[in-house]
Amino acid sequence: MLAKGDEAFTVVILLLTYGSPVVMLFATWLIGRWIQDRHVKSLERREADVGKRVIITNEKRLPDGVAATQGTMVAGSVVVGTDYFRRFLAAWRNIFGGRVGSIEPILMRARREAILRMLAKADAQGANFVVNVRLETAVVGTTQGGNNRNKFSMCEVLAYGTAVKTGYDHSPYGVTYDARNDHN
Amino acid sequence: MYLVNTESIPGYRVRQSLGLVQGNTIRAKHIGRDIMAGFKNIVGGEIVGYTELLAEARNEATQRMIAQAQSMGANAIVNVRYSTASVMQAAAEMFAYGTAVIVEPENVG
Repeated sequence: MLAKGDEAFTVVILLLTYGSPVVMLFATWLIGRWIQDRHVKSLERREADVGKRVIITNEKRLPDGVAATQGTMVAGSVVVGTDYFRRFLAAWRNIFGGRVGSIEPILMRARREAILRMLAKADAQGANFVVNVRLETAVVGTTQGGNNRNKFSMCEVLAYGTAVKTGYDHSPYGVTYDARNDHN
Repeated sequence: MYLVNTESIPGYRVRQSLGLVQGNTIRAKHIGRDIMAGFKNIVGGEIVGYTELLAEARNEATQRMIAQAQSMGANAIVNVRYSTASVMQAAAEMFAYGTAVIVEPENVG
């Protein structure tokens, strides 16, 4: 998600932190959106690519009629934080209650990223199915210091499953393939 | 040692179940990483240092679980589950558990 070049932005933002909060909000809104757009594009590209080779299911076993030779566990994880602007919106939402729409996409992106990392490992092993996939989200702690509003918690999303290799070729189905079709 | 989170391993038959095995580890974040994470949290996105730290910790919990299974004479662990808990303000517990079994290859044909 964050490439090396983002450090430069971080420095700029740090300078702005001690400048004006309004500038800070505007800058983090722009940069947050930029990072999100870039990440979503990257996710879509990688999902389309790996989706041609690996199928993911949270069913406990393979579809009927598909035989596998061996299985190994694969896992992918990612820790995410939120930007200043989204936390600001979330803090407002905390007063009136309701759906915290600013934070939702962050967790969904993290989940997709964790799944993709898991799939990449399965793909590297030559597996073409990942079964019994479990997703887990955990708050891994808040940083020390800072005032209450600027305290943030980080979320870890973990995806794990069993990668198996089958003789089954599902390449024509791509990502839209639904494993349930095989039960007929 | 085979590790799967399904109830069985494809191509293998469970000969004997040896019971639950588990491994855990608690990792604290170090202050340098915490400061970097603070910077990252201004613009959002992934906190790579923590992803690595937690993956490392999870690996260690898994290794401890495997060591326990090996001492029981198992050659596979099935139904592996992971769990993460924040036990202190700056520390996370990684927990891995599963069922140690002895498997043998299924006779083909």
